[in-house]
Amino acid sequence: MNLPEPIQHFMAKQIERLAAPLCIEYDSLFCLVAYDGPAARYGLEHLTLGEILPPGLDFLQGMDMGEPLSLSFVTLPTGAIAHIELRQAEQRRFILLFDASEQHRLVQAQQQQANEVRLLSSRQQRTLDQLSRANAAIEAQRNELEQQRNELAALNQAQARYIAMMSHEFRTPLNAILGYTDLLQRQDDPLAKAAQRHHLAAIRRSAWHLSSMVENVLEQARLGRDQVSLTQEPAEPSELVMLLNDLFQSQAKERDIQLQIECDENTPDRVMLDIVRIRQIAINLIGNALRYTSQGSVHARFSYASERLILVVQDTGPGIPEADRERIFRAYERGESAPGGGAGLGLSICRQLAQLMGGNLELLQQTNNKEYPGACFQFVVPAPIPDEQPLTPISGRVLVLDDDPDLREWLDIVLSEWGLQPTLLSGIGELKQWLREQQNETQHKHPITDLPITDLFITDYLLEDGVGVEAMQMVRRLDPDIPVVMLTGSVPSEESVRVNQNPNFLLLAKPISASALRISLGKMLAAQQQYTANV
Amino acid sequence: MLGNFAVGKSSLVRRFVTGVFDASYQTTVGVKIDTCEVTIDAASSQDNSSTEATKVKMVLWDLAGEAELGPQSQMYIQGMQGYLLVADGSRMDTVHNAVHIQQQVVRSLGPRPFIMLLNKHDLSEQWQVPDSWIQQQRDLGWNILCTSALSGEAVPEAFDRLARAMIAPTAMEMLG
Repeated sequence: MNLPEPIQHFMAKQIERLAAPLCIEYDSLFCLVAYDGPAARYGLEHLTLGEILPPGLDFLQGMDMGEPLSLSFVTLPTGAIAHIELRQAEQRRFILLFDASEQHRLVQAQQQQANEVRLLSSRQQRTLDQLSRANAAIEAQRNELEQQRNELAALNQAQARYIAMMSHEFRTPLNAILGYTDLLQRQDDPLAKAAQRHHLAAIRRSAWHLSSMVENVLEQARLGRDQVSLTQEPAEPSELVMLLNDLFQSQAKERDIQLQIECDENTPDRVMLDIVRIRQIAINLIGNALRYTSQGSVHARFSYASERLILVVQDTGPGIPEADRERIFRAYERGESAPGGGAGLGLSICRQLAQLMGGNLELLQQTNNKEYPGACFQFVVPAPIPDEQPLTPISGRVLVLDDDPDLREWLDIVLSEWGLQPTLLSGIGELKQWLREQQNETQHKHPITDLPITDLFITDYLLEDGVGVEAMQMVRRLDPDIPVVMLTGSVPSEESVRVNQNPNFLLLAKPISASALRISLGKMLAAQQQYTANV
Repeated sequence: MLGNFAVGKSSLVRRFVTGVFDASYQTTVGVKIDTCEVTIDAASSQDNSSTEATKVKMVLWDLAGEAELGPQSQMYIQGMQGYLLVADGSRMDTVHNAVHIQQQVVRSLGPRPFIMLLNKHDLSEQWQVPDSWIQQQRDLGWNILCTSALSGEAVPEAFDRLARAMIAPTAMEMLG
C-alpha cells in the first residue's frame, strides 16, 4: 500500500512513542558500529561507537548470531524491559530493542494471579491428601480398636463362662468329699468298714481334682503376672506314675475305659524336675484324655531321650477338629466338641509352663481312624540326671507349727519315719507357751551342756492366729541359728523370696513332696550339725 | 536458572547477587538477566598450572518457571553453558518436572554442566524428597545440593560448584 507521507510520518511517530525502538549495529567482534533510537530508555546512554557492547548488553556476547533470534520480555541488568531481536541483513548485524515494560506489567499481573491460583490449588490438594491420609489412619485405628473391643468382649464372655463353670466344678468334688466324709463318720454303719476304702478313694480322687483345679487357677494368675518361679529337684518318674495310676485307675475302671500309665525302661530312676509342675501337667493331660474318651482306651507313656523327659498321652476320644487345634491352647477356651467338665485353663497353663521350663506341649497329628480319631499330646521337658549323693540318715528334734491337723499328722508320720523327733504345735499361742517352758528349763541347765531348744523349726506361712514369719522371729529370739522351713500355700511375697536367699531358711510350696522335704531337711540338718561342731 | 514456577529461582539469584531474601512471591515473566562473579581459588582449581585465583564472570538468565521448557524458553537457553536445575523440595511434582527439563536440555543442546538444587530446605516439616531418591540420582552422577534462599544454606556453594563445572566440567557433571 502506497501511503501518503503524512500518514507514514504519523505511524512512525506512533511506533516510536509506543515501542521506542532502538537499533544497534555491531561487528563480528561485538564492537559498536552505529545506533539509532532512545538508548537512555534502556539504560544504555553511554553507547560509544567503536567500543564493545556495554554492560547492559554484554549478555548477548557468545550468542550464535547466524540465525534470527527473538527474545521476549528480557529484563536487562539496567532494569529496563525489552523485546530483543537479533537480525542479520546485507552481512550487517543488528540488535533491535523494543520497549516491553507496559506489556510486561500486564502480563506479569496476569501470570502472577494464575501462578498464585495454581500454588493455592496445589497446597489445597496437599491438605486434602493429608486429610485423606489422616482419615485412613483414623479408620485403621478405629478398626484396630473395634477388633480389640471384640477380642475383649470374647475374653470377657469366656471368663464369664469360666467362672460359671468353675463354680460347678468346685462344688461337685466338694460335695463328694463332704458326703463321703459324713459316711465315714457313721461309726454304727455295719458296712462302714468294708466301704471305707471305696469312700477314701472317692475322697482322695475328688480332693486331687479340686487341688488340680485350684492349682490351675492360681497358676494362671501367676502366669498373668509373670510371677511363676520354677524349681528343679530330684524326683522319681516311677513315683509319679504310681500316683497317677492311683488317681485315675478307679475312675477309668468305673467308666470301662482301659487306662495304661507306664514308664519306659530307659527312663532314669531319678531326674531333676519341677515335680509339682510336671505332676500338674500330667494330671491335666490324663484327666482331659479320660474326660473326652467315652469308650476305648487312654495310654500315657513316659520315656527319656537326650536328657529330656517325654510324656505322650493318646486317647480314643473324638479327637480335636482342625479349627480347634490352636484354640485349645488359649486361656478360657475349650474345643467346640468339649463335653461338660474342665475349665478351659488346663492346656493353656500346661503349654505356658512347659515353655517356661524350656520344653513344649504340642498336639501331634491324629490317626486316620475316622470313628475314633483320638487326640495325642506330647509333652517334653528338660530333665537332667541329678548329681547327688545317696541319702544319709538324719536325726534330731524338729519343732512343727501348723494349724492344719491333717498336715500336722502327716508331718508327724513322715518325720518319725525318717528318724526325727517331732514336737507338734497348732498355733502361735501354743508356741509361746512351749517357748516359755523351754526358757525355764534352759535356766536350770549348765551353759556348757546347753543344747539348742530344737534342731529344726517347720512352720506354716499362714496360721490361724498369726503368721509364720512372726513365729520364726520368736523362735530365733531364743536361738538365732535354728534352721527354719516355712511351708506356704500362697504366692510368696517379695519379702519371703528375699529371705529365701538365706541358707538357713527354706520356703517350700504346698503341696509338699515327701522326697523333696526329706532331701531339704537332710541338707539343712547336716549344715546345722557342721556349724554346731565348728562353734 | 531452570525449573518450575515458584521453586525459588529468582530468590536464589537475589540471595546470591545481593544477599537479600524477600518472602513475597513475584512471578518472573520472560527472563531476567543478572551478572555475578565467582572466585575460584588456585588450590581448588582444576587447572593445576595456575597459582592464582580464577575469577569467573557469570551472566545469569533467570527464566520464567515452567513445568517443561516451552518454545520461548528454548530460545532463551541458546548459548547456555551451564545451569542450575531448581526444584522445590516441599513439592515433589517440581522435582519430577526438573528431571524432565534436564532431559529436554540434553535433547536440545546436548550435555551441559548442571547442579540440581532442592530448594526450600528450611521447610523441613513439609519436605517430600526421600533421601533414597537423592541417593539414587547421585548414583546416576547428579550433583545435588539442598538449598534455602531464606537461610542462605548452600547458596554460594551452588554457584561456586556451577562455575567450577563450567570451566572444567567433570564427566559426572556433563552426564545426561
